[in-house]
Amino acid sequence: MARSPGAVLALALVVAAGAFAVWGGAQRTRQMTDALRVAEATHAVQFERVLGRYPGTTEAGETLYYLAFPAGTPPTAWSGLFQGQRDINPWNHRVRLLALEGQLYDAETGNPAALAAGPLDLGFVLIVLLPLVVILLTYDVRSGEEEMGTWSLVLAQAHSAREALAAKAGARALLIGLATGLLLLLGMTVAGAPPDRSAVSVIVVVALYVTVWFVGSLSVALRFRSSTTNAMILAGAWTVAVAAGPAVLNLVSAVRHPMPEALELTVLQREGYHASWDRPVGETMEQFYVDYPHLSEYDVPAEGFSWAWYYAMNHRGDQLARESANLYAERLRARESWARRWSVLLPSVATQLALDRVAGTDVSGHLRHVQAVRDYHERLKAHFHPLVFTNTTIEDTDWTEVPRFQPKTGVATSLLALGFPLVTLLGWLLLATGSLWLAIGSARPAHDVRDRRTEPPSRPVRHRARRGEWPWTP
Amino acid sequence: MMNRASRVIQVAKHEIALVRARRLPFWTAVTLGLVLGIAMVGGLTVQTAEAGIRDRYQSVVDRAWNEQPDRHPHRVAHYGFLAFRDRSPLAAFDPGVESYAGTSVFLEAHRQNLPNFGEARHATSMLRFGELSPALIFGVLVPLMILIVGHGTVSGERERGTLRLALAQGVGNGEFLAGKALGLAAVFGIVALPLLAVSLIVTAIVVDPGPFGQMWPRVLTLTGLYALYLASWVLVTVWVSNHAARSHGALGALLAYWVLTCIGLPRAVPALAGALHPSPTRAEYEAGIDGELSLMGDSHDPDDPFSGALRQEYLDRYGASSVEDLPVNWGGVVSAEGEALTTRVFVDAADRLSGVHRDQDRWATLAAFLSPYMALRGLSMRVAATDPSGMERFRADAEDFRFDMVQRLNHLHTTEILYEDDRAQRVEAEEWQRFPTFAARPPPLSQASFGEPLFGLALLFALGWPIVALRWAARGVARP
Repeated sequence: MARSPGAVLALALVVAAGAFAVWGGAQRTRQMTDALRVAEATHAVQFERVLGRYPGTTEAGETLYYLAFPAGTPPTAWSGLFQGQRDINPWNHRVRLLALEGQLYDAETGNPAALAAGPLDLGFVLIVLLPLVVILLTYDVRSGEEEMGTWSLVLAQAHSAREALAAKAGARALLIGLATGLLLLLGMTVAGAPPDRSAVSVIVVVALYVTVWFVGSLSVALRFRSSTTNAMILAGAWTVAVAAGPAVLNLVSAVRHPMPEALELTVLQREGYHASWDRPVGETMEQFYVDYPHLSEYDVPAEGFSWAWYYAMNHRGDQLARESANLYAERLRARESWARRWSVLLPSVATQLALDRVAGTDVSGHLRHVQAVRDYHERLKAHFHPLVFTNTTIEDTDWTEVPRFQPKTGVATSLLALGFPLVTLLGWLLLATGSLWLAIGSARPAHDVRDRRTEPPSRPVRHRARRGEWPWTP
Repeated sequence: MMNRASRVIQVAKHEIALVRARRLPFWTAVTLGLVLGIAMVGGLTVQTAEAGIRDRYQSVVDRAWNEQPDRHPHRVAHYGFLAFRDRSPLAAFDPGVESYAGTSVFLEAHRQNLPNFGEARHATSMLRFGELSPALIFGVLVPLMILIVGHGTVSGERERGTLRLALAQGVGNGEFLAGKALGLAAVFGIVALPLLAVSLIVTAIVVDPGPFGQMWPRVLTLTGLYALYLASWVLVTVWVSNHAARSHGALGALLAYWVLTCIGLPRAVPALAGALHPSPTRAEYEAGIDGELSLMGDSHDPDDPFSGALRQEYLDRYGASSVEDLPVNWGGVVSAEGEALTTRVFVDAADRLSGVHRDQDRWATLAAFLSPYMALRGLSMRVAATDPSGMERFRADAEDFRFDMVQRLNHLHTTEILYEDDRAQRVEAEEWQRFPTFAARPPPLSQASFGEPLFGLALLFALGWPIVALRWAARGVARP
């Protein structure tokens, strides 16, 4: 192995990249926890200021127009390592009592150029960079020795070609295993991930993925003779697996699942709310009581402004956008399950989806957060609506009893909960093992080895030498 | 005796013959055509679908605005306006950061919202692997093809012993290298460039340009950029092939260079820049704004003590003793003044945020000298109008429109609505139709190409250093 300094250098570089990715992830996680703290602090400051600005006899409904309650889901320990969609989807909301659909979709303040480049997290290093090193270490396991003419020397020291190759492959497997283990250990330690079922899932998924690459790469390396051919095939496979393939799937997904609901619900909610200003109070209240029948016992003035009417109008906007909002969530889920199904073609995508599921940074994680915010909004309304409908003043309201946000943190993901991507990886492992078996079976016996350093062109070059030119014979 | 030029051409012709003998151009063309076909069909479908959705909702919003009944201007200021960003027509070729920037922004009084609903919001984790587009194909995949086809140009000849023969026949080292480069360039010129031109032309014809102008100059510029970029890859391949002892060493070195410049650096540099200049989270951003706004009064409340100085000024100006006697609506005056003050806070905060993003992007600009792909991408995005500065410009234009709209409404409030019994009055519905509609102003091509000159310099550098290196290699003693 000392004869391939390039491979060892590449391995060292990948481990260094992994270390940087882990450090970057820890920094991002810290930034996210800071943001949650800042949101709480801002809320406390705003609370004091808003309540202090009005005389105690003002209706509570007036202050509720301004008060924004923090609703942020904290990052899991794994989300620094497998960033998923967490930098794109909002996870730290400020919820007011107004129409929810206008508040739910506010984006984070990330740099679009950085988002477009993609995160450099441990997931990227393990899924994209590590297979390169695997390829680099295994592509010339036999052809390298042959081409350098040392194959016969190697054979002389072993009982058979198979044994020699097994020893070399074993040494490489050990090196790759150590590097992967080091990266995972570093990641888990720095991220503070507890050693529970999630950790087991991550380790198993990563081990399966790296093994698929190792076995597959080995099967190509044993089948073909020339290092160059091996390198080209494996490089092509890698490009398809991590660049071209997922990009094609992405495009197909985008074509198959257009999402007009996103803009539709924005328009509907806004129209619904504003149109209510021009309608009779009773009409809006009637629609409102469909969802909250217990509030119909309170009197709402039929003419003129009242805070009860105002919040009912906001709810009207939500009601009108409800169908679109549900359809939007449904379509997001459909997109995700489509991706999970079609990831059967690409183990890299399957691994990414599995790891993001463990970290809670995938679409499901985001929808879980959105559902938690919706539930919180309902709880806030359940708490405050009676106060608004009874025209309770600020001084008569108990402001210490305000509901707090309860994030829906997923439970630790067991192996079975990973679902289809795990099956995909096992399937690919089977495929790779089968391919290796065939490659070993078809490998020519040792005494048939010829010193073939180069490959001749597959057909003769048609180039006639003319007088005065140099003859160019292949 | 043959002169230099014809010797170079002879070498080139032989290179083309060698490559053709391995049937590589055929397979390369087939693969390229297939993947490009998928990218084009998919890209154009998404483009037309997205543009259609945005157009539809923009016209819904426009119509809803015009058909508003009689309303109080301040209510209309809260009703606001939804502006949708037009999708650049060349986004089907190079989506750039199109999917990651918001597509719709709600423009209302007292608040500045950020654009929402970029397409990346609807995507799964799979998106982070990259979006398939002709730009990705010609920027990442074609260089891979170039280095697979061409890594053995010189080293292969050396291994087969034919390099020796050529040098013995009087071909100079420099002529040999030039011929090899020319031959390889000719192969890819015939295979890749027509496909590049076709994909650009089809995009320009099929997609409705909307407010984006200068389509054909952009198409021409993009063709030139990608041609230069691929030429630099041909030169690098020939240089490495000359330098390497054996073919598969050349392949390894070229693959490493490709992984580093096309996959590694484009991801590592923004990550590093983000670590050095962290973007504020939304919570911090809003906390900063809240803090500054709290120092101002509440423009909803005409009796607010903060507007005391303003009140005195108006009383003096019109010689009135109390705000009820003013010939204008005091509520409207307070609204207008408040809007001006709060807008300044929002604009400053947004500028600070853009400043951080620009600091981060500067690193990517400098890294373009290390990675030709990043240089190409920077320029390609700018010409295709899908770059971050274009998105930023939309946000700024939308903000200007918002401010003008709200102040016009405040002016209506001040002049058309009486202070007495303010809330019960309405402005006639015809007034809404006199308001201007939102029109995007994408940056012109000249600004796109030359606005960030470092990208252009980096691309020229990527073309220049292999030429210099090859001349150096040619000058040295040939290694047969």
